[in-house]
Amino acid sequence: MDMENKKLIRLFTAGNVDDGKSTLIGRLLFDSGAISTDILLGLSELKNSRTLHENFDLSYLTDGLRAEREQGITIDVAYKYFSTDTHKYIISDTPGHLEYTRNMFTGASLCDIAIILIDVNTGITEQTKRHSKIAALLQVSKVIVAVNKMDLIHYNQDVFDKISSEYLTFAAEIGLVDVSLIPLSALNGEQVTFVTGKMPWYHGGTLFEQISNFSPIEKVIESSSFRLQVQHVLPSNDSDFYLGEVVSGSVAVGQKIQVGVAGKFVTVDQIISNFNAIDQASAGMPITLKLKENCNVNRGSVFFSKVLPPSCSNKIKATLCWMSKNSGLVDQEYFLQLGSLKVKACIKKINEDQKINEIQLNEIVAVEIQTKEIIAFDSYLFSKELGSFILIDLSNNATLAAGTIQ
Amino acid sequence: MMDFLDQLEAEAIYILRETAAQFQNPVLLFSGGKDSICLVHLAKKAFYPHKIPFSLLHIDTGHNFQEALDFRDVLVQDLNLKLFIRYVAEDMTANGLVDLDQKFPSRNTFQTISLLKAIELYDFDACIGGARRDEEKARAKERIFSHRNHQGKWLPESQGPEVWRILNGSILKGENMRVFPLSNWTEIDVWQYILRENILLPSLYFSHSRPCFQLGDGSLMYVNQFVKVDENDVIETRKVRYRTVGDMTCTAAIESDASTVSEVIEELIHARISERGATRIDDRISDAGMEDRKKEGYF
Repeated sequence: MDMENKKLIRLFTAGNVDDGKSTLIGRLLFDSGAISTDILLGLSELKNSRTLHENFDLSYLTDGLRAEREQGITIDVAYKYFSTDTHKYIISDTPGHLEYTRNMFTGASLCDIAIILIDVNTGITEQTKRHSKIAALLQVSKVIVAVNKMDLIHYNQDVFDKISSEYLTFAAEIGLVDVSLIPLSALNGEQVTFVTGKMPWYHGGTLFEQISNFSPIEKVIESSSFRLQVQHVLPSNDSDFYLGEVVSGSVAVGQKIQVGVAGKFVTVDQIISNFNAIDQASAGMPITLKLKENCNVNRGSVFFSKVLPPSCSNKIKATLCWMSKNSGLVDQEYFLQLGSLKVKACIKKINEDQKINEIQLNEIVAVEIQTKEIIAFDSYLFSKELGSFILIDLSNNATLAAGTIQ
Repeated sequence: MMDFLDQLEAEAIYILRETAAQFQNPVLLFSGGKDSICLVHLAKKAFYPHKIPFSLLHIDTGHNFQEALDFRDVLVQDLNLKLFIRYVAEDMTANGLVDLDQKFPSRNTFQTISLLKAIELYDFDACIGGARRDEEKARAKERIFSHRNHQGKWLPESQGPEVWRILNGSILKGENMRVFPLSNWTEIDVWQYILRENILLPSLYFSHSRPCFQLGDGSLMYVNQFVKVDENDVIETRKVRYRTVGDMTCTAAIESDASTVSEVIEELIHARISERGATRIDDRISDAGMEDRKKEGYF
């Protein structure tokens, strides 16, 4: 097994209730050998309303809560893992019900690949569109639309083609770039991990092949500019230690960098990583920074390079997905948490409309937010880490909404 | 270029640093098993050159393997950490509880009492644990920052969102956060990390000879003072190792010749039984055993 450069890929499945998401994941795990014998035996002993004409109910692999098995639905995200020679995959099986959109968002937010299921008998639904819009909002690199249950329509090409052209038109409208559609049967595995020639008219390979062929592309724009958000500050004799992860770009000892909304210039004195002092650190590495100067830098502050600095303002334009039963209100005070930064903030405007002053559960809206102090941030397009945030209820600490910065 | 182990390590370090920053009094739950040993290694790395800013807490059932306890004491001394030990036996006595009259009298459910007691007594607001989502299906559902209410209960149906890498660690007084930095690691990832980082483990994890009797599923139970051996049990010395290290009453060994980390990895690549399935007798109680225990406040 080649361990060098084996990468982590995160993918999620989404779709309507009963489109067969959990069965598809079960199928991927089953056919890739990631399910142990004792787990399989457990499955054969269990039964629920979703058991079809199969020996094993594969959805049992991911519906891990008692309530899910009793109701025969997925309520929360389940994380499952499998590996190939080149990648380790994390799959989030996300719920289909509208009322569990917050959990779908939780499972989807870090993913590189979205697998959106459509039941070929029902075609594209509101929920398909909604999940696709969330994938677009999250800027998921690749969207694979799995048109499932092809076995029930005798692998008919016309039905697939019709859904395919309808979806592609919609995908273009919402700005999804890398989209492919694949006809398959999660139940018997056709076109998931193998092909037995039932659909000679389809030439796009199996779902497994499409997943395997994906590798994440590093954005050029990101790599040219250094960012590190301070997670934690620890004291030392002279200047403090700043702990954080290099979000983008790289940093070297002796380099002049800037910090905070005032953009104060400082010099890197030491970089510590992996129990060692190192000369240079690049994106993704957790490091500890020490500066030549003695200055007061707090948790949440951003270190950055002169090239393409972050925006600094107390006004943010963003897209919000509201996730709480308590509606979002204009001028109500919330905590805004952006990475490790937490400040008080208010929503000032919803959808550019002075008359709207409330956001309901599961709505996705454009907002203007005002923070109590000036903060450093990026657009979500530029940086997922510094371009995303949550809103938190001041009284009960619940996460109310997720936002992406324009 | 970072490979997947670097990425998993970076994620765990990110979580540990968030925990240190967001909580007043976090503690690392230490069992002497490989996952919590890895956690300690990751914490060492996350805060180096500072020492680990957490104390350790061991919920001692009294049924531990001596090797695991010895390992724990050496590690605590080497790293100059504070270790809190809460003895399950003492809490059982205080609550008028006695051991189950069973062949394998597990104190698994009693551990929850001691854990919650320790949290209350020492005012821990966050407990860092080595649980992984690949271990068990209820755990596969759990957030990285997993909220416990003022009674220590997990409410799986009302978990809040946890989006991107943003960890919302705000809690009310009396509530508690369970933190799982190894959420996205699998058993084999942990072993590959142990190999790469040269992490020392208790000898229990490697092949050794031990008097055992065989259970129905072929796994092997060590003959010890807490397990009731009867005349049907055939005792013989076997070459075994442990895939997980829990209590002597509920952890079974597997037959193995693997005596190095590389050999263990090789063995696991070909294993057809899951980690807990191979070793944990207490998980076989019911289909929702873990979920039910977690709802009551278990690790």
